[in-house]
Amino acid sequence: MSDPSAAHEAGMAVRREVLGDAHVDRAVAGTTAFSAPFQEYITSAVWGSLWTRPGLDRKTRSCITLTALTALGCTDELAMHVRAAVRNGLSAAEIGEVLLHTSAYTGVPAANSAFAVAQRVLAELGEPSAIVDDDAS
Amino acid sequence: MTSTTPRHDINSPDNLARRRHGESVLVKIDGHQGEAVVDSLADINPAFGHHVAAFVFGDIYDRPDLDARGRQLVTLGVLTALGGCEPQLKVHIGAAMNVGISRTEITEALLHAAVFCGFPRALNATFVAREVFAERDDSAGK
Repeated sequence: MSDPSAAHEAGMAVRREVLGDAHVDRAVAGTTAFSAPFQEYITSAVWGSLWTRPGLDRKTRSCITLTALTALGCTDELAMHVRAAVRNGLSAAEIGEVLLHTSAYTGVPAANSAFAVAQRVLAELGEPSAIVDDDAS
Repeated sequence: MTSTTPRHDINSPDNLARRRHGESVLVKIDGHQGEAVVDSLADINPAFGHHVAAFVFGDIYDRPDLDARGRQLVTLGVLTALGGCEPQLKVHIGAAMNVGISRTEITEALLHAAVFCGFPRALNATFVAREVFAERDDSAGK
C-alpha cells in the first residue's frame, strides 16, 4: 500500500471495526496538533499496515495483544484491548484463559492486575461470568 | 486421602501423578527439549522442575478454552514482550512448529508484538526464530 492516504483509510476502517466508533470518535475529537503525528502513525502503520496483514486472524492478533500488554503492565491499554478482543470474537472464557496462561510467564502480580482490569471491562459489557454477586455473601 | 506425606513433598503419590501427567503434556508440545529443561533442574532444584511440569504444563496447558496453537501463540507473545527470554523463546518457537503453527504465522506474531512491546524485543525474538528455522532445515537435510 504505497498511497499514504490509502493506508490511513484502511487503518481507520479496521480501527473502527476493532475498537468501535465511540472510542475512535473520542480519539479523533481529542487529537491536537501535538498528538496528530502519533494518531497518524497508529492509524496508518499499526491499524492500516499491521492489523490488515494476512497470516494471523484478528482473534489471534487480539490474543497476542492481550498477552503483550499483560507482560508490560499496560493496564489502561489492556482495558481497551479487552473490549477489542470481545469485538474480535473472543469469549470471556477465552480471554480468561489467555490471561491465566500468561500468568505462568509474567508472574502472578502482572496477571492479577490484568484479571482485575479484564473482569471490570467484561462486567461493564454485561458478561454474566464477570459480575460480582453481592448477594452471595 | 490417608497419606501423611507433606503437600510439598514432590515425590508423594499425588505430586508424582501430577508431575507425570504434566510431563506427558510437556512432551507432546515441546518435544524432548522441554523435558530436557525439567531434567536439567534435577540437581539444583527438583521442586522447580516439578512446578514447571506439574503446574504450568499439567494444570495450565491442559485446560480447555484455548487450543495448543492458541497457547503457543500467546506464549510467543508474552516471551517476546518480557524481553530477555531468548532461551525460552527458542524452546517455544520449536513448540509452535510442533503444534502446526507455520513459519509465516510465527514471524507474523512477532511482527504484531513489535508494535506493543517495541521493536528491539521483537527483533531479538525474530532472530531466535531464524535460528530455530535454520536448525530445523539442517536436521531435515541430514
